[in-house]
Amino acid sequence: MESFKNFLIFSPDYQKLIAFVSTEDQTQNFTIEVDWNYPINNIKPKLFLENQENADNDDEGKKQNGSEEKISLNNIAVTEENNLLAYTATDKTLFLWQIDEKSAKIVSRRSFLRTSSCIRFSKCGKILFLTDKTGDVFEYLCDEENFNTRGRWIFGHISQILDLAVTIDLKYLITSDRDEKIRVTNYPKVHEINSYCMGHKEFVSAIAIISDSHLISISGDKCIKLWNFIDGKELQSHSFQFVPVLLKVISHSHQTGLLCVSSIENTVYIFKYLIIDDTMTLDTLAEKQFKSDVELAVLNNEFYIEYIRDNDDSLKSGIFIDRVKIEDKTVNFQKIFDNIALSETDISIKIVKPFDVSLLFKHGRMFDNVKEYNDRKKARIENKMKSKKAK
Amino acid sequence: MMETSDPPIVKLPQKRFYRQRAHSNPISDHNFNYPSHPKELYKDKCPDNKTWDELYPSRGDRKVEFADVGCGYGGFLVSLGETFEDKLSIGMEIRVKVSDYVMDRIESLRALHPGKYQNIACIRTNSMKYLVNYFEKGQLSKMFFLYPDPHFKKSKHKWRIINPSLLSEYAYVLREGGLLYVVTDVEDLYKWMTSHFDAHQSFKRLSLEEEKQDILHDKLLNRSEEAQKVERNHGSKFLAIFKRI
Ligand SMILES: C[S@@+](CC[C@H](N)C(=O)[O-])C[C@H]1O[C@@H](n2cnc3c(N)ncnc32)[C@H](O)[C@@H]1O
Repeated sequence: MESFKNFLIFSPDYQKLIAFVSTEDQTQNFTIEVDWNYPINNIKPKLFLENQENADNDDEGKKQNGSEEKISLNNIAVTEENNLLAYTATDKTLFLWQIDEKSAKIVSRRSFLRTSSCIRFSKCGKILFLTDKTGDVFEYLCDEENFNTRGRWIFGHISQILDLAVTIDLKYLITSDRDEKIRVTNYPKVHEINSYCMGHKEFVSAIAIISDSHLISISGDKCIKLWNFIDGKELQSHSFQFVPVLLKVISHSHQTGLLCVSSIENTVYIFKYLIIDDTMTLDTLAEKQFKSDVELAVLNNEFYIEYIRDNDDSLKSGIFIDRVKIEDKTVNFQKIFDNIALSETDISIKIVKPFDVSLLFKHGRMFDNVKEYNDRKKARIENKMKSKKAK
Repeated sequence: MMETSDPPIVKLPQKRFYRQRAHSNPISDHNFNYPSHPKELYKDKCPDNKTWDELYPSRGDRKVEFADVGCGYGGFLVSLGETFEDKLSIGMEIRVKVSDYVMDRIESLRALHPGKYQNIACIRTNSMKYLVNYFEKGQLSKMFFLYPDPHFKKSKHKWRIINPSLLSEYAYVLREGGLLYVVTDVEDLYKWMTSHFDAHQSFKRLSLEEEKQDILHDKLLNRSEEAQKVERNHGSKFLAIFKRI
């Protein structure tokens, strides 16, 4: 879920429809249909910088041809300034729409190489960064002259990238991956790594920049960490009782703000944070358990939570949205939207997480070939000793 | 003279017990132990990992400066340690048995030559993923990539240990002026790698003259096990040295 002016934007079925829900006036809501016949710009970005062809037969492509699996939407991003909405699709195309308060029209549909994991716009909205599951990062220009220009590879991790953040001044791109790493890359000199923020012990599911030098990260190791990302220094670490998955931040100043964190069990937590002298204190304001997966968004300094619930007045389930109303220290979850007035259309609503967190854990669930080898070596040496003794 | 508490006869490990399939997939997650931050290895203890002091018993306050990445059976590493006695060199090897061979080899060398070979060690790791878990920015002054696995198929080019993504990482752990050495017997791979170095703005190739003058030049071509294998098969060897600028 993303936000634009007074609208929350999401796809209720990740396929046919994109919904624009007003947080102020429900009569302004509208939906658009995804035009899957829109022509694809088939010129793919090149992996690496070279003049060589791309590895043509990538196995993911093969899978799709063989099965009846339907193409669906995947990652979403919206610009803050120049009215663009982007969605990646599982057919490895990147849709770009120009949006206003009443409608949206597709302006391009460009190809990319591997299943996307995250897309983000620069603050100015002129550049979109796309990360993929094999760890590469591509840049797609999104100013009007370049709506249809092909993507460009800019750098890569050797691990699935889970999140990307761009500093407001566009000096750094920050990427987090499954191998516990957070990488801070200079921009536009993307061949230069400024720093690494090392210290997590499991995948880093989400990151958020909260000031010129501070970054917050959450990880499968249950920790939330505060970093000075310029010098890659860990300033603080807090342990949660749960595995955090999604993270949204509202900064009120360089020192204070609010965090919204969802857990692997779909509980949503609201925290107030305060940073003094590089130490962060977290104050839990509220928590609420949801029965379905959730999506989070920020709009006009408020958090919104999208979830699925059985409708009170019919047996159909619908998409619901809560606004997190925070006054002083009291927090209310106000339902601002239920169902999508789409009950007539035959869409199957769902909420898809950006990745399946349970598959990302590494420790304690991998094949231990070292132990196997050491056991055999020990046995070999013991046997030798025995046979020596026997002699 | 050997101390009596030591095992009476120390033999170098026999390679036949340590042979392993040539290629392992550097992208998959096998079970690796690695520090979550380089500073962990400077502590007195690091659970599941050997600290630098455990790896180099007479380390003092020196830090590792040379890395032989994909060191194989360690022939070059041993030679590197002999050439630079006051520098600490680490061999990094992904294969379980092969890295174990190198560790046993170093242990035996130390036992056979008391006081020597204190400056080399080997760790089993996937350097393509965990290099920066071990080294800080600018810590290394030399990195070696000798006879890297070629991964011929185009779809496997990402697995190559020299690739554009990783060049940025090597530039990060190398200090300015540091050197990166590459040797291969596969001409196509040589061209591929050098073209990526040429395109990368943090590296500049040394002149042929400078390459020849490097004290390691001949050792790069004949000290490692792979170098000797190429020698036996009368293969060609391509060498290049790049400076971190
Ligand atoms: C062809 S051998 C060369 C070995 C040695 N440098 C020599 O010259 O004899 C390449 C070595 O790199 C190791 N290797 C491949 N990928 C690696 C990785 N990601 N991390 C560490 N070692 C790796 C392989 O296991 C293999 O031993």
